[in-house]
Amino acid sequence: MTISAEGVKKWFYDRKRGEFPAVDDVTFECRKGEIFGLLGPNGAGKTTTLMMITTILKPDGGKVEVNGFDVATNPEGARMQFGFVSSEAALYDLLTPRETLAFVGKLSKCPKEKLSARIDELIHLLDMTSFADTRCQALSTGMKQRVAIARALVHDPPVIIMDEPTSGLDVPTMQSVYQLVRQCKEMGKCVLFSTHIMSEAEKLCDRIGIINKGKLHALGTVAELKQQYSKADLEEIFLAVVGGNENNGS
Amino acid sequence: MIKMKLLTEFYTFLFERNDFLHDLMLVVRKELLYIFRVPDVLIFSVLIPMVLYPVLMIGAGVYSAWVVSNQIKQAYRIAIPIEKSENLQLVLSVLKQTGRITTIEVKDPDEAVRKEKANASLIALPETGALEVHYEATSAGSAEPVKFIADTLDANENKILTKTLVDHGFTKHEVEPMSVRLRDINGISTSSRFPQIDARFAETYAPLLRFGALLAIFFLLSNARSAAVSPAVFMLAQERDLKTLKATLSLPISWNTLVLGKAVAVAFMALLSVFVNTVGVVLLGFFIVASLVMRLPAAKVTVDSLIQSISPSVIGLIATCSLLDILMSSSLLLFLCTLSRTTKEAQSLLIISSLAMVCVSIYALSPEHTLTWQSAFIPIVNLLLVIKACGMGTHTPIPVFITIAESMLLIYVAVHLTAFRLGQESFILSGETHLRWPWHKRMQKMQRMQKNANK
Repeated sequence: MTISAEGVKKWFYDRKRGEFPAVDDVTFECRKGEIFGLLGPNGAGKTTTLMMITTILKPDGGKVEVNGFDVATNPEGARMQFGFVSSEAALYDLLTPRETLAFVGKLSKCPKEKLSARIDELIHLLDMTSFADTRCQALSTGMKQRVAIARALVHDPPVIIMDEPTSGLDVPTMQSVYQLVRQCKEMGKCVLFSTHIMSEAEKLCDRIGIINKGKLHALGTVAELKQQYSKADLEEIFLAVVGGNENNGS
Repeated sequence: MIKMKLLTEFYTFLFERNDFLHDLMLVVRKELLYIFRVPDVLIFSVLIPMVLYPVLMIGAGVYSAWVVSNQIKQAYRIAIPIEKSENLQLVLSVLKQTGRITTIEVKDPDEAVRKEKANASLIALPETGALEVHYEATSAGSAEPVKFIADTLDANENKILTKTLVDHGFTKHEVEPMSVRLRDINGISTSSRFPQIDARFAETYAPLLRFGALLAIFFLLSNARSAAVSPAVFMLAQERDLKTLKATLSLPISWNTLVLGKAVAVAFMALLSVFVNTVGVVLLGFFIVASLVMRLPAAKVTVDSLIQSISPSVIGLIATCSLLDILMSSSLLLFLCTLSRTTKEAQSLLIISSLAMVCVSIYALSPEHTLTWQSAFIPIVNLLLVIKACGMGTHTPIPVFITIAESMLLIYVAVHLTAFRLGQESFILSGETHLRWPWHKRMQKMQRMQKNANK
């Protein structure tokens, strides 16, 4: 497997609530050539989970491995294994897409002779030719998101982690992002995809994990989940899991 | 060709095969490329200093000139022999016209100096007729022959002197050997000491100029610290606000290298600002050159004296300490940046700290604070004290070693603390969570909550 999360925990501190679990004992795995969807409402713990996988936050408990690299003991090794696309495009406004890709590619130790060809290939693949040398501050949200995806792919990592990559995008751009995610799968990459949009998860993901209030409540393919919860679509399953959980909680 | 190949191989070995340096260079290059495109940073770090500081330096130059002119007007008591040679009479006639000289005629002028009846003695050697001024030396270069007359008089008085000499049948060529040899009274006799008062003549200005040079260095360092504020804020706090921090932290690079790269880029910007401000110092230099050209009093002597009292090794030490100070300030500013929750907070914090650092410069510049092994342990101040001691020629190896070692340690600690703070969720998720203090005893609470959940 390429991503393995085992009993992952993360606690946050809040003046009102004091210590509270943002992620509580989450266990899942994501395989090569698979799109794994992490589905949950806002504040469910999706981003925190992804931030632990991407080594930005340290887990308070449990173990996370990315392509065999433990994120707690070897974060630098783990970072070489994935490309990360966050919900905000998070680009340096004053650099051009080409400069951004070159910077990340060089940091990832891509050989010089291959890097230039790789950047050109990505620019062509993501249809970025018209704005490849324009500063990112002048780009639209959709264009920025494409650059962010190219940034995640530039060093050809085995794992792609996407945190709500379609938030704020229009329908055509969303479609092109879906196409890219599928392309990544075809290339044999492991894609971890977090979202709160049911249709998106249903269309794209091979397996889905439903997370709420920091806990992973359901895990399986869409068909398996439908069978398990005896529901017709993912939205109903989601409501059953989240709603039921909230009722339990109250 | 072979040399070029070797150099290329060395560069490849250093920056291509060495992962740390390769990554560091990449971060520095990217940060600089980025920062050169930020108008605010360029305005505050380069353009404003380019206009403001040269103006201040010219002001300082004018002030120095005013102080010098005031000192020139001081009266000197000179002891002269009762029997005066012709050239001595000529010199005295001109000196008296300046209104700054009072003379006392004694049998033994040197004795008058020793008994503190005069500031200096002016005598003509019986063998050669050459003039000598005897006084107590205060600096290393004082025993060197100087053109006493030319350097003591202003341009107009010089003209009068030359005319007087020519009127008395001396040619212009013969006026030149009228140099006066300044001699330390202690070199003539060690029987007594003469207090360091007004009899210092030309080298009165050497400490003044040395102080001016020190002031310029301190001034530039303070400016470097201020110039580092804007890029430091930009590189961490604003990156967090622009939401690029998460993406940056997930890049395949060690966070220590990332922080050090940013610190080096900030230091580079500060150095650039220093370079720009050097224009101000160069203007001050022009003032000195102009005074030389216009033969303003004492200009040549003071420059000579300054050059003689500062060796290349001292200049190297001053440069090292200055660079360390800039890198240390940049690292500390980046760390301070991580203590803020918003860009505005970071800006306020850094401006206050920058002002505090200027106060530290003023503190270090005051005469009563000197470099000792105890003061070498006071961080931030000690580097300035080393620079000051180097300028004054009073530096000793142990405090210098302690200072440099301590500063390097401080840079190392600041970089690590910044990288550590960068990894704390209170920084990454600023605004979403609050700073967790150590006394929250987090683990105990977690265990308690876990127990409750199990129940």
